[in-house]
Amino acid sequence: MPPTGEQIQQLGEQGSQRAKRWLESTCRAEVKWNNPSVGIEKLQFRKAGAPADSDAQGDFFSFDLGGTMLGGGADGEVFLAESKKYATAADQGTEYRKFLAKCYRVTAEQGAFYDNFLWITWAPFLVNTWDELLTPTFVESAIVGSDACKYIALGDAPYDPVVGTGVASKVLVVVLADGQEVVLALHGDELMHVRKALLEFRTAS
Amino acid sequence: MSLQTEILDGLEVRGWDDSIAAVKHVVANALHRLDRSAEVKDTGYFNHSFVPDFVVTWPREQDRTRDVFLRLDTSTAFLSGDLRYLADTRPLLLGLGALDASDGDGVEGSIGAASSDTRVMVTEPAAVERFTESPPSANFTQVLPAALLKGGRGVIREATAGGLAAASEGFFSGARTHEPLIVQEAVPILSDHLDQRQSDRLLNFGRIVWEATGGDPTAFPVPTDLGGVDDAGLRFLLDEAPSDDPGFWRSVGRLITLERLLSIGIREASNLAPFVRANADRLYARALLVKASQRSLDDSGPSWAIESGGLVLRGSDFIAYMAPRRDDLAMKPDEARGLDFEAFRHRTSHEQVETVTIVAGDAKTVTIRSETMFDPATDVVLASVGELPGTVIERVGLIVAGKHLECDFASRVASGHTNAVFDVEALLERGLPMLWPLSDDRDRAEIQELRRVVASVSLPPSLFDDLDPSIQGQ
Repeated sequence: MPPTGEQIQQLGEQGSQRAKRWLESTCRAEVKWNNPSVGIEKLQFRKAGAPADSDAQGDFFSFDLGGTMLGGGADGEVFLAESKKYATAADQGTEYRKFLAKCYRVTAEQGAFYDNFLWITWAPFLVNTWDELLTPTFVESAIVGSDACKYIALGDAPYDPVVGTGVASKVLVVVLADGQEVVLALHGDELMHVRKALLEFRTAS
Repeated sequence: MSLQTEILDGLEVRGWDDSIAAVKHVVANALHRLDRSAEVKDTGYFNHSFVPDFVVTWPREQDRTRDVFLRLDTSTAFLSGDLRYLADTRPLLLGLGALDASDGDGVEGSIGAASSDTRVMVTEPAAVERFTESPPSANFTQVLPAALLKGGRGVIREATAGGLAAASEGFFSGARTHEPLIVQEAVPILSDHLDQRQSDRLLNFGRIVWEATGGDPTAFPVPTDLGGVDDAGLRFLLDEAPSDDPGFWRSVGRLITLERLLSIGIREASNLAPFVRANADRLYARALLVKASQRSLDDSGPSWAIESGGLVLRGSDFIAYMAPRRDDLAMKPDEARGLDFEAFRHRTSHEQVETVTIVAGDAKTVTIRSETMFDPATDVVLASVGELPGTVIERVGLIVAGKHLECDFASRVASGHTNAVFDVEALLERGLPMLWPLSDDRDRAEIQELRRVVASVSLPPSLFDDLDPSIQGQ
C-alpha cells in the first residue's frame, strides 16, 4: 500500500530535521532556516510560470532547509537544500528533476546569492544515470522534459544554457544512511567540545 | 506590539542577516527584561542544532550560565529531538512561534520521557511576554522571571506562564501579609517549574520577606535552608530583592542598625539606595567625614555603598562617609584649610549657629559662643574677628536634633560630643552642605529624596493601625 499524504509529510519533516542535524554535525554548515512556513521569503519562491499577482499555493515552491557553509574555502557560501527520508528510490527521479527546475529558477532570479543546492537523500535513485545527475545536459533535459518543470523554471522564457550550467555546478547530491547518523556522528560530550570550538571560531572571525 | 508579532516581523525582513539580527535583537531584549542583572551574549549562530543563539551569564554568579536556543521549528517532533541532544546542558529552548499544541501530551510528554529530572525549559514568545509585562512591585514580580531564566524547567506555554505569575504574586503577597495558606498553596506550582537551586532561592526569599516584615519566624509554612534573617538573609535581600517599594524597605529596616548594615558583607548592593532612603532617619552615626573625589567617568549621579568602614554617599565630586564611631572609618581625612570668612558666610547662609571657631593670622584661636543661636551673616562680634586679615574659620557648631554637631572645615569631619549620635538624614542634610559645597543638582536632589522618602514611610502611627483592615471599614 502506498504511503498516505500525511505519512509522506511526516517522513519529509523527519528527513529535514535529521538532515539539519547531520549537516550541522559536520561543522561545515549552519542551517539557519528550516521552517518554510515562517520567514517565508527565505525558503519559498514563485514559480516562473506563475502570474505575478497569484497567491495560489501551487504557484510557489520551497526548499526544506537553507543556511551557510562554515570554514574552509566555502565559508559563508549560501545553500538551499531538499531532503528525502526515503527507504527506496521511490519517486526521487521525478522529484530530483523538479528540484533541478527549482534550482534553475532560483539561479536565474538570484544566482549571485545562492551558491549551493543540496539534495540530501537516504536512498540512491536514478542509479543507471548516476554519473550524469550533475551534468548540464541532465539539468537541461530535466527542465525542458516536463511541463511541470518548465512551469517552475522557465514559464514562457527559453531555456538558458548558462543558467543550466550554473545550476549543474552548484548541485551536490548527498546520500546518508541511518547508521551513519548513529555511528559516524558526534554525540554528547563530543558535541559540547565542538560547540565550544564553533563558538570560538565565530568569535574569532 | 507583542513579542510574537515583533519576532514575526523580524522573520519577514528580506535579507537573511538583517532578518536574523532583527529577531535576535527583539529576543535579547526580552531575555534581558526577564532578569536585568543577566548579560545576554549573542553567539553569532542562529537556530543551530547544538550551538546556542545566546549564552546568558550573571556577573555576580561566576559559575552560572545558560544556553538559549531559538527554534524556528516548534513541532513536538523537532523539539523532542533537541531534548535528546541537549538535555544534559539544561538549556532554554525558545520557539520563535507558538509551541505545537496539536497532539496530546506533545512536548510536555516528550520532556517527561527524556528525563524525569530534566532541567530543560521549553517556552514560547507569548509566555515570555507574560513574565515581562509586570512592572516591578512590592510583591516581587521580578523574582520568578529571573529564576526561570536561571533555572526554569519544563514546558511553559502562555497559559502555564499565567498560572506561574499568579502563584508568584500569591506567594510573595502571602509572605508579606503572613498568610501561611496562601504561601503554601503557591509553592508546588512554582517548584514544579524551577530547578532545585532556584526553587530553594525563591522559598528563601519568601521566608526572608515574611520575617523582615514582622512575621513569626516559626510560622513560615515551608521548610527552607535559611536559619532566619541572619546576615546571609539580609545580604540576599539587599543584593537581590527587586523591589524599590519604600514601605517594604522600611519594614526591613526595623531589623538593621547602621552597625549591622556595615557588618553583613555587602559593598554595592543593588538595593542599598532604596534601603537607606527609607531608613535614613533611624540609621545612626557618630561621625560624618567628607573627602574630595574626582568626577566619575560615567557621571551616573550619586550612589550608595559600604566601604572603608562606613556607609558612603558618592557625590559628583565628593565622598561622604558615615560611621557609628569615628574610629571605624579606615581612611585619613583630607587636610584642607579652614574657610575664609566670605566662604563661611556663604556656606552658613541658611543656618543659625551655636559656635564658631576662628584662627587668626597670628595662629591664635578664638571661639565665639552664644547661649542662643546666632546668624553668622549679621553677627557683629563674629564680623569684627572674622573680617580681620589672615583669619580662617576652622569649625562651626550647629544644633542638630537638639544636639551639638561640630563641623571641622580643615578635616571635613562632623561629629557631636562624646556619645552623641545623629541620623543619616540629618548628617547629610545639615552636616554635608556645611563641609562641602554641593555644586551638582543631583547631589542635592538625592538628599531631598531622603527627606521625601522618610516622610512618606514614617507617618506617625494612628490608634487604628493594628486593627484588621476589614474592621477599620465598618
